[in-house]
Amino acid sequence: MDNLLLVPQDRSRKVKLLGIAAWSMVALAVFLALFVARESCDDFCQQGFADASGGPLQRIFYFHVPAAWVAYLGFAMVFIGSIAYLRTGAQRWDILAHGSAEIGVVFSTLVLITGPIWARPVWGTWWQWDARLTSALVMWLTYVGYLFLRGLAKDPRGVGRIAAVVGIVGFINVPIVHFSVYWWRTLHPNGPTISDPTEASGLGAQELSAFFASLIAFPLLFAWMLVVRARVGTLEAAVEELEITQTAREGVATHREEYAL
Amino acid sequence: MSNLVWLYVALAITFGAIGGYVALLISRQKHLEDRLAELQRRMH
Repeated sequence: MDNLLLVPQDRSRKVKLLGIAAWSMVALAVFLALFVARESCDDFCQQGFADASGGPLQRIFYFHVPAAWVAYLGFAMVFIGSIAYLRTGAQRWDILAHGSAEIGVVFSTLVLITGPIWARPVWGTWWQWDARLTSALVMWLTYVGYLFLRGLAKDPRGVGRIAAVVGIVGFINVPIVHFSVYWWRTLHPNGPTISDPTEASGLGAQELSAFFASLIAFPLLFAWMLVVRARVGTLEAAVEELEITQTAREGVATHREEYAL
Repeated sequence: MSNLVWLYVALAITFGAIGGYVALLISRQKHLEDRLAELQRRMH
């Protein structure tokens, strides 16, 4: 029950404001990506991602890349939450790790769906077993496995420590996914970097504004979803605790009745 | 299908999945809040 006090109430003003800010930024990012960013590579790009444009499909980039970064963020939160849970045993860290894994899987699933949709006309194939795509698939399978482990456990509390170990070990692959395009020769484009977005991608100002709007929108959305998910996790724990207490009380009452007879 | 159609398919999947997941979360939260209130009422 203590956990209820540690997670912001979703009905609080701050959480509502966060939700409104996140969805407003998403709307702005969609608008910029669809109507402001230019479509033709000839208009702005010299090298990098935009070279292999794919016409209007190139706009997938504005959602595919931020979704991938938010998936990394989610899995980093699993890593942090898992370490903190093993160190302290506090259930709130386990709830944080579990929720982050769930949201990370949602976003990484979207990455694995939108990527092939873009690749089909540009590469001529939906999928290539190159370093980036394969390591991203392994990352996705790792965290789907993590969620299965938690879902199939008979004792949801007992599985927390095993899940934490999986959450820590599984994170080893996340930097490999990110740096795979630099370490090995892959079909996958490098994409823009925060430190030097123009040089790496050849994006112009209009394209960068759409890209950065998405880069702000998706983490905001992640933060809001995580607060809501943490609230659900906390409620689950509180309900479970009360159900156990109630069952114990009923058991004692039945025993007393039998004893009285 | 044309590339433009595929773009809208990708967008629909992206925001449909996010919206669907959020709707599931909010529905689960409502159910748990009701269950918690019921249990607390019974305990008193």
